[in-house]
Amino acid sequence: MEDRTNLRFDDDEAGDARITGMLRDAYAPPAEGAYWEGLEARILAYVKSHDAVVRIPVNWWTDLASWAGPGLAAAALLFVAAGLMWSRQKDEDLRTTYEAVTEPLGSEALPGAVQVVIAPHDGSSQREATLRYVLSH
Amino acid sequence: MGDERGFAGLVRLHQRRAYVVARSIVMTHEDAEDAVQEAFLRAHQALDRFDPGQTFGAWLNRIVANAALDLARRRKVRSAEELTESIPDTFRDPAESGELRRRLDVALAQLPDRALEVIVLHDVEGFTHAEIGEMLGIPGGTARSDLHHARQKLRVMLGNLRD
Repeated sequence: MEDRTNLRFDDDEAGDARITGMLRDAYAPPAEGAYWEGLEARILAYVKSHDAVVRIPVNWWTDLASWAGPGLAAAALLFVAAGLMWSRQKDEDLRTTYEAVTEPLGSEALPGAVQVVIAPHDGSSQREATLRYVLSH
Repeated sequence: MGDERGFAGLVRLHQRRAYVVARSIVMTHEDAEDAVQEAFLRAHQALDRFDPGQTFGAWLNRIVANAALDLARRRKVRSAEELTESIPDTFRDPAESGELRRRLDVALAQLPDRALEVIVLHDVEGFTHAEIGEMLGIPGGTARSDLHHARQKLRVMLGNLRD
């Protein structure tokens, strides 16, 4: 049997061939089919576990879709409540306007400008004021 | 489901070569497995960006080489002792488990990283210089000269070790 520890490497071609042979022995991938089946399963499990994490943002809309039903119901309730409030407010406004029109006028209830208009006309005082204005200028 | 089955087929078809590419770059069998696993994950996530104008194998090999280089950078320390200890016994040729194998390990440990990668990719799996260059991100001519220098160094080192 050849003594493999005593090979010659100084001859280029033969040396290269021996080096190649040694490298192939050293770095050759495992030959057993079971090994590759195991590695394949390991790779696929690894990919699957990471893929699940990666897919979360991609499928955000599926999660959102599950909230669509409750969301629509809540929006409908809000719409009905807003309509009721609006209707009630409108009735209140109408009632206030009606009361304002039908109630007898009380001088204490009227604003100043209105009081001026309905106040009895005092022509002398107005004339005096005009005169004072003319004389002072 | 179909995507899963299709990808499983790709794994089955390419994992062996992917292992050899990774093994030429990282120090141990275990690291090669980790790099292959990581590379297939990256490939799966980047499948949409695969250009059908190129071969899937070449595209995958680049991903594997990058994953292995990332892992090798993380490991960094590379000594002859570690190399000898870390190669699992199950994948050794019993005929090589003696003195010659130890010498080879010592000689390989003294090669620059890239020279080792090039010679293993070329001699073990038969990749061309151009393919090696593409995988490692270097010109094909550089891969060729790296291979030449790696062979020369190994011949000298193994010759010296013989005495």
